[in-house]
Amino acid sequence: MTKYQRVFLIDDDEIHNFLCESVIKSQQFAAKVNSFLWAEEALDALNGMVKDAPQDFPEIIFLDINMPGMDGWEFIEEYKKLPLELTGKCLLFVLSSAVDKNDITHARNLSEVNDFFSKPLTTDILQIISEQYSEL
Amino acid sequence: MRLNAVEEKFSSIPEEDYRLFFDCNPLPMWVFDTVSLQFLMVNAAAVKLYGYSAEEFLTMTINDIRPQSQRLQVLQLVSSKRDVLNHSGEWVHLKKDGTELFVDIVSHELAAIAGKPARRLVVAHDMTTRKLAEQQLAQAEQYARSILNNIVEVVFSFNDKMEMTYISPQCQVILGYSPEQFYADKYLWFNLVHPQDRALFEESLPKIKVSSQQFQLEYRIKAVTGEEKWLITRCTAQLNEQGRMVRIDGSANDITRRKMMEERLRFSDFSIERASEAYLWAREDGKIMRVNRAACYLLGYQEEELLALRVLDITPGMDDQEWQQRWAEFLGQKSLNFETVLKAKNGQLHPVEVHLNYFSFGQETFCFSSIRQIAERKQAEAERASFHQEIARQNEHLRQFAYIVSHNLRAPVANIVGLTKLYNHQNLADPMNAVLLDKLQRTTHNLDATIKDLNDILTIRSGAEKELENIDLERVFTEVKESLSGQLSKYASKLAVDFSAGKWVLGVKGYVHSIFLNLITNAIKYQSTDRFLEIHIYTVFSNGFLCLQIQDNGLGIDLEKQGAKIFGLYRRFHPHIEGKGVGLHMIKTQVETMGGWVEVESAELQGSTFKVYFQVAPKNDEIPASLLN
Repeated sequence: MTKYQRVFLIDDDEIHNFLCESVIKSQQFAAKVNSFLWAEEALDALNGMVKDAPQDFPEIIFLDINMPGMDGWEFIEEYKKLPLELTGKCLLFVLSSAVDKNDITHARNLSEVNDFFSKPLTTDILQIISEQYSEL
Repeated sequence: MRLNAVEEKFSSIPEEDYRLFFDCNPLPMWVFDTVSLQFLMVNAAAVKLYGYSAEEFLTMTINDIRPQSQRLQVLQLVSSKRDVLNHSGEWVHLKKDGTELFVDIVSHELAAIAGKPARRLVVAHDMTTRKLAEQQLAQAEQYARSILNNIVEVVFSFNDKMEMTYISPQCQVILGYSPEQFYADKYLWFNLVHPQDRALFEESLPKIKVSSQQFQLEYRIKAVTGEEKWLITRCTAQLNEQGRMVRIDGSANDITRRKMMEERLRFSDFSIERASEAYLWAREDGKIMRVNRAACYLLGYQEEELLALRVLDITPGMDDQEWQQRWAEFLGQKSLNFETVLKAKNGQLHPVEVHLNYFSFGQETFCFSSIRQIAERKQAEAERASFHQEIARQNEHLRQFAYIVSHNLRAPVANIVGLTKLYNHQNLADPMNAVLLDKLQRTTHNLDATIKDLNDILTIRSGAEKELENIDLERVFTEVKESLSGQLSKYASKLAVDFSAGKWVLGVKGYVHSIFLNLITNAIKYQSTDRFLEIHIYTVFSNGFLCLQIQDNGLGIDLEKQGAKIFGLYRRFHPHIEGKGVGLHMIKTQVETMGGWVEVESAELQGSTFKVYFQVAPKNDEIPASLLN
């Protein structure tokens, strides 16, 4: 399985973050996983990397939609403003508990979003990602 | 014999006296030769009547005073054998000037004298005046007959026994019976009268018989075809000197058509008067010319009162100029539909739908308006609108609920699925299993809490019909303050409370308690770390609602960013602070259930003010005395 250097998890659900970290580690999907309970904090971290350590910019972001404070949609609006040379190499996946059709459609229509997956994150999802996006 | 005796009696009278009898007789007389027909003698009266002088007469024959047409008849008469005294009857004579004379002729043979021709003495009675009168009478009679035959009325006479003695031929046209039939059956007329209308005759006849006034009766009668006709009869009794009726003369006219028209008009009037819609007729100058009962009822006026008004008087805000403008518009369109408001006598305004029609009748133009009250329709529309609103609200709740189910219920379920997948079944002693179990426990706890929250919210929503009671805000607040005394004394350096503006509201005690608890807990939870917490709680009256305000100096909320979802379910606004995002949504639901609403004013890092509007029970002393009566 393709190894990624850095994965961001953005989800206010601590348990789900733990779950994702466990799955990612067990599959050796990425070297580093950073979990964020607040989208604001994740955005701060990305901005920091843009400024100081572009080489640390994550290759994959798993983003929850329904979060207190800044939600997933608002995060995507801010993410668009980041330099394209960095975001262009990063895969953004929406990972939501939603089975709401509108949310799914909306997510798939956004060019910044590579795909939409329903929680929980499983080894199957990681498999799909590493197969479909291996050229990156 | 007898004649001889008379002659003998007069033989003693002297000859010249006989001569005087002839000459001075006031009746025109003459003697003529029965062979040559020559006048032999004429008296002064004849000269005067005929205009010829005595000398002229003596040159003429008796045929010369007759029209050509009678001369042959004269010759026949003279050559016939006549009595000595002969009444030859009526003749036409001519005066000298050619005018006709009607005369009754009597002649007497004169005794024959030897050597003299046979003679006759003629006396002429001038009948001209009488004859002319007779002629005029006949003419008048013919004239009257012609009128009787030609007028549409039937003319009739009854005798003192109420038998029909005359009826004009028009009866044939109207009833199909001939005068002869009426003469043969003297009571036919009465027998043809409609049984229900006979009473009318029975009632009127005694009055007619003793009065010389004209009476008028309208009744139904059966024609020979069986067809029922309406007749109007005008009749007058002819009374003798003793005041007894000797005759009743009268006329009868067919008014079937008029009666039918009247019936139709009466029917239309009846319908108009009893219609539930108001009808109003107005002239070009805006004067009301007719109204029906419903219009009077709608506007609360008597008919006479309305007829003295103009349309402007019952249409608020309409002036002469607008009326004229409307009229002009109206002329162009012939008919017009619009909704407006009419003002009743008591000042009450009625929303109505008006349908206007424009008519020309005779020289005048006027408008006919049918007016339908739409207050009920408006109310129904309002009810429907509120019903729609309620449905929209319920739909929004359902949508929100579906969203919650999708996100907040599915999230812990997804975690359970994920965690159980990671569980190491092969090696139960794997230290990871213990961690997973702990997480599983927390997740199931979350799931349970979420379901409880949803249940609470659904319970409040379904309790929309809950009865509101008078609640003392201050008392509920005191209870809440006691339950939070530990936290309040620990965090709140200042708690200012003022219920002087009002503390009684209409509400549900449990909800009010929950609202206080949630808002005060939030104030404590989201306090600023830079300063000591201060909470102000007070009430103000606002448009008939009592507004409870809970103000803090905490973290505040960026309303520009979060305003739209602040009262949404499972919305949280502050990182690092424990909270499920249920409280504010719960408050909103509870307040709305009690017929109020909630607002928030906030500035980030400065604090928030939550404003909860409650309904207030009307106070008795605030209700105007007029309404209590």
